Amino acid sequence: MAINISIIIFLIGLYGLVFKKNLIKKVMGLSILNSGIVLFFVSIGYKKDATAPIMQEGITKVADPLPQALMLTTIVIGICVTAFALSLIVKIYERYKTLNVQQLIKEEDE
Amino acid sequence: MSNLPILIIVIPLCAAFVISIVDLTRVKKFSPCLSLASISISLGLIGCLGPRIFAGEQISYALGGWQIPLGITLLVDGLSYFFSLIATLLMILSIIFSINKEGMHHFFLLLLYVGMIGVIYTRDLFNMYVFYEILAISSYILVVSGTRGSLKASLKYLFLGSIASASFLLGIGILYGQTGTLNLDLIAFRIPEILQDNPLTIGLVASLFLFAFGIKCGAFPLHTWVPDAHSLAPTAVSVLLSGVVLKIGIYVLIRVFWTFPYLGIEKIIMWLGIFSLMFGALMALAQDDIKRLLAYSSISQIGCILIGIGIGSESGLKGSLFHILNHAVMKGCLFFCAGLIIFSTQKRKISELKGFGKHNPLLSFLFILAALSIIGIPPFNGFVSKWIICQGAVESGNIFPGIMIILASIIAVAYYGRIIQLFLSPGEPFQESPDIGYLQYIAPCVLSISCVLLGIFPFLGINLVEHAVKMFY
Repeated sequence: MAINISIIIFLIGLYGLVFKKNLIKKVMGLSILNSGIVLFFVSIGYKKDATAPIMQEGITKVADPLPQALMLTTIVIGICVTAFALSLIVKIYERYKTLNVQQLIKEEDE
Repeated sequence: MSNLPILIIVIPLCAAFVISIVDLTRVKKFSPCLSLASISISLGLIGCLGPRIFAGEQISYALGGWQIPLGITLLVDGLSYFFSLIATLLMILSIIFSINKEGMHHFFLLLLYVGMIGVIYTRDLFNMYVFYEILAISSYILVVSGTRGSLKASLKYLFLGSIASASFLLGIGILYGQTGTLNLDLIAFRIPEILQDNPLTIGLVASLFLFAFGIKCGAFPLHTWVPDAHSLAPTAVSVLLSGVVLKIGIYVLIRVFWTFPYLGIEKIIMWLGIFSLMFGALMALAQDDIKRLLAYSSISQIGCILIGIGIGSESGLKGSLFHILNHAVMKGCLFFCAGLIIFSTQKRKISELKGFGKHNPLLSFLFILAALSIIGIPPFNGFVSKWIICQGAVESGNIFPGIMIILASIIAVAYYGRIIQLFLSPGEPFQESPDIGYLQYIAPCVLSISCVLLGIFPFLGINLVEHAVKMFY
């Protein structure tokens, strides 16, 4: 179930990133895309009523803790990319006074 | 001695952060020297690994002492040694070229280097993703410091690069769900079972990876970031983007797809190659901006390399690897020259460069030499590798790609010939221009000399390539 939802979130993000005209919305799409992947990884490691075998003995139902550890890294990377994209967009707005992609393409640089 | 692979990555990384601190103090003029020194140490360490690699040894290093099923391993074999050598040499030349730039530029150059070497050496897929992101983010930032529309170019690169990383990561996730491991060796071990039970999943993973690396290496339908980012970035960064960053995409493609040979993927790679080859060549014909032309020419050459990989035979792979080396050398030289031409004349349009040969004979000579080499005129290196790829294509019965490579070379004569003709024809004298420092001539001179050397003594490169190919066949 969680895997299906994560794929849907991924596709929603991809839609936002590709089809939205506003740059801020595109970056929001990017964030949603990343969340979809994070949910996907976490749901791989999920098992009902199971815990990770860390610092405890006698656990019989074992869940995989690795995907969560990996996702911490991915979330950090996602934040870096989002922050950089937003700062670029601020600069773009200062120079071209627009956030619309189609108008930006028309703008000539001289 | 055994922990050399990690030192090659860690020393530039530490140097990068030292530079970012030194840049705030009064001795900030030393930061370029520091970055040059750290990369030279890395080159020295890679040199130390050389004899063991050529003896056929594979050097592996387990990070933190955690062995294979638990930890991340770094592995230096023929293929990764070959790529790391190209990356390091080109990086040194770029740092020498941009020695006058401020400290932050060198900070990001070093981070870019760390990312590249990390991707090349690691055997862990998730670790590869992390290093790829380091590489990607630092190259987005380096592109911004270029001229005029570089903000837009960088944002476009960022969006496409993020889609590529996301699909790479999704592929890793599915693969991890199926195999329960991230190590490439273990994945290769478990793939045959899964391919029997669940071929569709592996097909999905393969297509996600192909999509991701197609964007990263600028293959035809996914190439749109290449012309903008390459033409608007600062010169040293254009060289690195075209010479190494695109090639890292191809490296990962070779690494991953030779780990799990999924049927039919070679044919797709070959057709991607044919389309990028022709598209790049035809678009280059229509360009008037000199760096944009070089960027489209890069797409065309990437197509040539992809064809060699897609043929799937030994000589095809050998030819593509040799072409990767040659393209890094030739396109590096061309981008350095183009950057210096734009710097000294303040003109980017090819049509305005009439009579440049008289204005600056040395620079035009270097440019023309590299251009002849990339077209594939016999005494230079471009000819040798294109010949090997064509030979491989014909031997394996793929006549059509071979013909296409020759056709693309003929089109290359047209677009490079136009520049050469304009350089050599008499024209208006140029205005007084800023002088080019002697240090900036070093990089294009070294690269054009290696163009000629690799052309006359191709075994210099082919020996290296043979060590890289040996592990696959």
